[in-house]
Amino acid sequence: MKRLAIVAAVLLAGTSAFAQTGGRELLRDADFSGQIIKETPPAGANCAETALWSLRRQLTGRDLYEPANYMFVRQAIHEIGFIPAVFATSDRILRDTKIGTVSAIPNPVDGRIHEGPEAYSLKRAAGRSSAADPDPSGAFGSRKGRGPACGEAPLRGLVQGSSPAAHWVSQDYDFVQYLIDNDLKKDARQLLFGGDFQPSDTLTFLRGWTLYQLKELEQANKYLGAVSSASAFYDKAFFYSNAVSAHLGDYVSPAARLEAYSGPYAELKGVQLAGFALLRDDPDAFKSAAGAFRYNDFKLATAEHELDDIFELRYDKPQKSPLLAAAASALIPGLGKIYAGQLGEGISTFLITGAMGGITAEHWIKDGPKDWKTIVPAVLTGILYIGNIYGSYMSVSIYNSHLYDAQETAVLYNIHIPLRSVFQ
Amino acid sequence: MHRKRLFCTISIFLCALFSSRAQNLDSLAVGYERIVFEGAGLAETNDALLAKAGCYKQLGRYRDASATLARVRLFALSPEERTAVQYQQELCWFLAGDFKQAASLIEEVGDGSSDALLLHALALAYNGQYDESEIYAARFISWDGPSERLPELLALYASHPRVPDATTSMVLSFFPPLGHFYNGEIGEGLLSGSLNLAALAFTVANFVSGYWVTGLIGGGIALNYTYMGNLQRTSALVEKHRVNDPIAFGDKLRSFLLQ
Repeated sequence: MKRLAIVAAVLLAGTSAFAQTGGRELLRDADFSGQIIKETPPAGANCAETALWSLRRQLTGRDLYEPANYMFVRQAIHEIGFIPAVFATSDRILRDTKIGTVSAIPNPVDGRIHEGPEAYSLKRAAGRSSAADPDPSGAFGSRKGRGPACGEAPLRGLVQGSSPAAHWVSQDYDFVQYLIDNDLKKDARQLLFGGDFQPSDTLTFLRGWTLYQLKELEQANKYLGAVSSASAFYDKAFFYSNAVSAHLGDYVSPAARLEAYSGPYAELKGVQLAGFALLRDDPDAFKSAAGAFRYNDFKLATAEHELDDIFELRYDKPQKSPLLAAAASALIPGLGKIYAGQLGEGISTFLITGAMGGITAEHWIKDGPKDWKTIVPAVLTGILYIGNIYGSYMSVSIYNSHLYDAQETAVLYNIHIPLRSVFQ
Repeated sequence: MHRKRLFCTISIFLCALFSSRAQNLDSLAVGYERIVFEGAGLAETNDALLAKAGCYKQLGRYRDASATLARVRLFALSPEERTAVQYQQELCWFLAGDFKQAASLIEEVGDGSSDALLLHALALAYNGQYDESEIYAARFISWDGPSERLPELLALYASHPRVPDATTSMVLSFFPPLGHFYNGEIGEGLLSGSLNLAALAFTVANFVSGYWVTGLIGGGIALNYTYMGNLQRTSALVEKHRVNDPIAFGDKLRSFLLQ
């Protein structure tokens, strides 16, 4: 044994020495250009937009919206027409202030609010105003089919041929767990995909689990979904596969698989089915699935209550009227936005429109209505005022859209996170 | 049982070692980790970790290499071995672009070789510590005796970029466009100065003409945008120079020292 250890040590030392040569060459070839802070105008910006980008850097403001207002105009003209684009942009300017964005929830990845001209599409607003409308053109519908349906593609490479020397992965199970637990997931992937193992459900599960840990969800889903029901890992793989499918935007095939499931986790099945029903905007399916809720298992009770709350908020409360929001903003600028649930935007709109109105009134009184010093602020005030009405009409749809997005995130969370406790 | 496991480990290791080169390094790294997992002795564990870091280095995964080297039990090594490991760690941090981490290891690595002096000079230069870097760079090119290139090196350091002082920059930015000028951005400074001047002129002109509402609200909003924007931009410029200038200087120094 001692001799074997010495052989290993010599080999190790040899490889180690080989690997550590060439330091100066590495220093010579190193490239750090990726670390330089580069300031470039947004992709696709024309001359005017590049000039505005240069100017914008010298001015303050939240600048939270993506695309930035100076890029938004051209896109909006292209997508919703010139006049709506003018009013949509003016509404966006009214909202894009410190007060206006106080309650906004930026994207956690880049800290910005992603809202393009499609938010101001009247067609979309009509689709959104009816919460129970299963129209697939809405945000939920647009997500459908984004990812691959579970098990729809042939799972090439899942079952590989093996050499006679191949061994069972169960012999390496502890080592794989050690690699994953010690944040050496890439090593685990290398072992499982580079090693010569006998095909087995355990191997398929471990591959899927490692890819899931590496957040390579599409591939993880293929492997987790391919674990057979005879495996000891079937239930864990099955429910994680459903959760991963949901994150990939497939809400249909996992629900069908769940309906056919008859294993020991009936309540968990109910939670996931209820979540998928909400993601598909199907209140009847939710009521049916929620019948399995027992509220007494601490691992699932929180998720069950939160799904119930989302259901109640979405279907049991009266919907807000875009027309009423527009009328309220016509009466007092910003009031419609407050009605739609956007207090900060309402106050911001009121202050800016009011300030422009005050400037116009001062010039009207001192210079008369025909003086250019009155006409210029009056035109600007008019655009902002109409933009405020238009924006308030749309804000119900935008609010619903943001609400649905937030609810979707909450539902995804609630069909995923309890799995960690259940399959600890 | 332990004997069987060790035999199994070494068999796997040998298979990995003699497998094809493309897959080799990734598989080898896993093989070395297996030795650690199997509970090898202290010396074997250290060897395995060093070899694993070597694989990562060859693969260009310098951050992973640094993290692996950080797991080496230094107390079990001789002073020379310890220095060699820490040199490799400093090198990997540097190659991974984490110059601060690289510079933090200079004291441990010491200055016992010309390679170490070179690496210290570069790590410090890329980290914006030009004066300290200059000492190591001068010692590096004088390693084999007095160098004719020393005056050239000193001239290079004499022209190193000035590190902008955040406090000075902030104080100067209260008087636009001095903050921009301090950061060497003349064009941007003129633009910012013009915008602030226009906003101020608009406000004053309205007050003088008796347009109190326009002066107060319109001028206030305009000045808020231009003046606060000037402060924000100056702060962003300091950060930009703090990051970009040392990299530009470091690249020059690197090509000079490695000629």
